Amino acid sequence: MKKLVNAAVVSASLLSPAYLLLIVNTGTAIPVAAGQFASIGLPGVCLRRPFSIHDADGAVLSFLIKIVGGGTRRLAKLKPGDTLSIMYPLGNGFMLSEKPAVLVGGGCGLAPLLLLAKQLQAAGARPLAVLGGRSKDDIVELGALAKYAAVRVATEDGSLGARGLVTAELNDLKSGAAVYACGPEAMLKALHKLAAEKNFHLQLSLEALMACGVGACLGCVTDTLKDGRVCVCSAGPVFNAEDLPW
Amino acid sequence: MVDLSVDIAGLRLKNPVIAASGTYGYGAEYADFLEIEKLGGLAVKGTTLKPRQGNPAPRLAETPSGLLNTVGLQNKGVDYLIREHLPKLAGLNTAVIVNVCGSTPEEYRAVVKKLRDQPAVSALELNISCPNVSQGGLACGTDPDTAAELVKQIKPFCDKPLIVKLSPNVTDIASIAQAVEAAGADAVSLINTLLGMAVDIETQRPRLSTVTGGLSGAAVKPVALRMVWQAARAVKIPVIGLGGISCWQDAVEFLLAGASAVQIGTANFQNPLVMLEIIAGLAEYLQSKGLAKITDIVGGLKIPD
Ligand SMILES: Cc1cc2nc3c(=O)[nH]c(=O)nc-3n(C[C@H](O)[C@H](O)[C@H](O)COP(=O)(O)OP(=O)(O)OC[C@H]3O[C@@H](n4cnc5c(N)ncnc54)[C@H](O)[C@@H]3O)c2cc1C
Ligand SMILES: Cc1cc2nc3c(=O)[nH]c(=O)nc-3n(C[C@H](O)[C@H](O)[C@H](O)COP(=O)(O)O)c2cc1C
Ligand code: FES
Repeated sequence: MKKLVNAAVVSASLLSPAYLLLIVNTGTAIPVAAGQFASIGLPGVCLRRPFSIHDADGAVLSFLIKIVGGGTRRLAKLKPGDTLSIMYPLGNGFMLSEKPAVLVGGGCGLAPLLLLAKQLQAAGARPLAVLGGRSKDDIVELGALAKYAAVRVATEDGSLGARGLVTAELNDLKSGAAVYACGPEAMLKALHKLAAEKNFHLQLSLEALMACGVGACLGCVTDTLKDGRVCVCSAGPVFNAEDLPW
Repeated sequence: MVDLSVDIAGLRLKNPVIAASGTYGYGAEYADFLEIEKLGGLAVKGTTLKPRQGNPAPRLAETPSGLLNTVGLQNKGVDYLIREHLPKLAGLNTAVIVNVCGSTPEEYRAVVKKLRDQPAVSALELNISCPNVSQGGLACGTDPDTAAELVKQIKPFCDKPLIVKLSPNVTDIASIAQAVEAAGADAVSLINTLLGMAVDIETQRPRLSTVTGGLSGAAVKPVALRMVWQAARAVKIPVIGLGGISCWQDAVEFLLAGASAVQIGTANFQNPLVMLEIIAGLAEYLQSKGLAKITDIVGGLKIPD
């Protein structure tokens, strides 16, 4: 069941100039599937902002947020004890599969992968995580992720890990793997193509501008092969790659 | 206890606060957060004869204190509404208003006919004003004669209160309101969204897939309030006011300007509980003014001479 709560900010700390780790206590423990998101309401901001749930431990949730505009800048200014309106858990998370798991994230696309790695590990899997970004500034939370997954890094400028794109890191991937991805659309599209070539199962977490976050306004649609235009917030945000007409 | 109930041309509401079409889905989407039965009513998404897939993404753009949308009447058609949604809506214990849309008078009529004898439906709201469909919508909502003609064609087939939802994209709202009143409308609701546009200066592209779209939210409130006031003075039938209402004080302004009830749209996105807060605020306002009934303030605007 979804809830709307006034959560207390536990901490809002900058991991780097562009990335914020926001930890809140919602006062109520709700089970969260990795890939589900929350929408955060900010006073004076017309629309709530959607963010993947980065970690969930009882009533404590964390978010990994890239500061890109007015709303995220305000989140970065929060102080412990401030209250925030949070609606969660929204959407459908990743389907955990028995197949060898590979997690692929770029930039803030790492956000849902931490909870996913944790849940996969709890289910007995040993996931591999491949993180990518333009430079080392886009790679955050390596330490946290390393607790649950073997981590590989690729940056476009070579400032951390291998030089190049994350897709290059997947060239030696065995067919039959389950790949879980979140990140910029260009990366997801490249993975979509690769999944068809290499025959691995791919789930993608999509982004869209959202107003309601619960399937009521039809503002956040994406095209799918079987069901036509569906809401990213309620039919997603996680989709099977083969359902997308990319 | 104050009396918040209103009767709009036979549509009885326990309080004057209705969820606006297209912003509250079919109620179920919000049922985890509040008891839908506390609302005065719920206007469901614009319903057409056949399923429509609506406009491509991107469909939303946030603007200062407002929201632009170009959803474009995505819905699964009236048969699906009747089969899948109405049985559930019937159990919600709130007035259900079906927002009806079409590209031609024949399509409107066909939808209205299918909704006859549906006990789950309390009233119909004829959307003659959607700016987000290329045919029909806008054209008939902006011309008094075509608007009246449409209402005349539909009224005989409608067995429920017929609310006509007006477009603000007109030069003279009073004449449109009068035209649909003369054609048989039982009430009018206004405003639908104002035609607007936003540009992404980085990509130099429009933010909406259809370039222009409908503006809603706090930004439109003064325009909406002015139009509600003008329409309420021009007609004898009840007026339902909406456009940018975000708190109980806004709702009081619309009621004073002549609205018998209000609808809340975009404000639900920021705060899904806003309608409950407005209902509570209206009751407190009446108490603070020593009034017993919400109808006591409708049209009570005092204009100094
Ligand atoms: C399901 C979902 C999960 C998300 N998870 C995360 C996450 O875990 N961490 C994170 O940092 N971001 C996440 N996002 C993106 C995040 O919602 C936006 O970055 C945020 O809303 C921007 O708000 P702002 O006011 O700072 O920016 P604005 O001033 O509103 O916009 C700044 C820029 O960000 C883009 N933008 C705005 N809203 C969105 C959006 N909803 N999706 C994509 N781009 C957007 C705008 O087009 C613009 O270019 C997620 C989005 C969705 C839909
Ligand atoms: C996303 C969205 C979808 C809408 N869909 C419809 C619709 O299907 N039919 C209709 O008559 N109005 C529709 N509207 C208009 C609203 O019902 C309302 O008239 C308008 O938004 C102004 O009110 P507000 O400022 O309170 O949102 C829609 C508005 C939004 C924001
Ligand atoms: S954001 Fe409203 S339907 Fe998805």
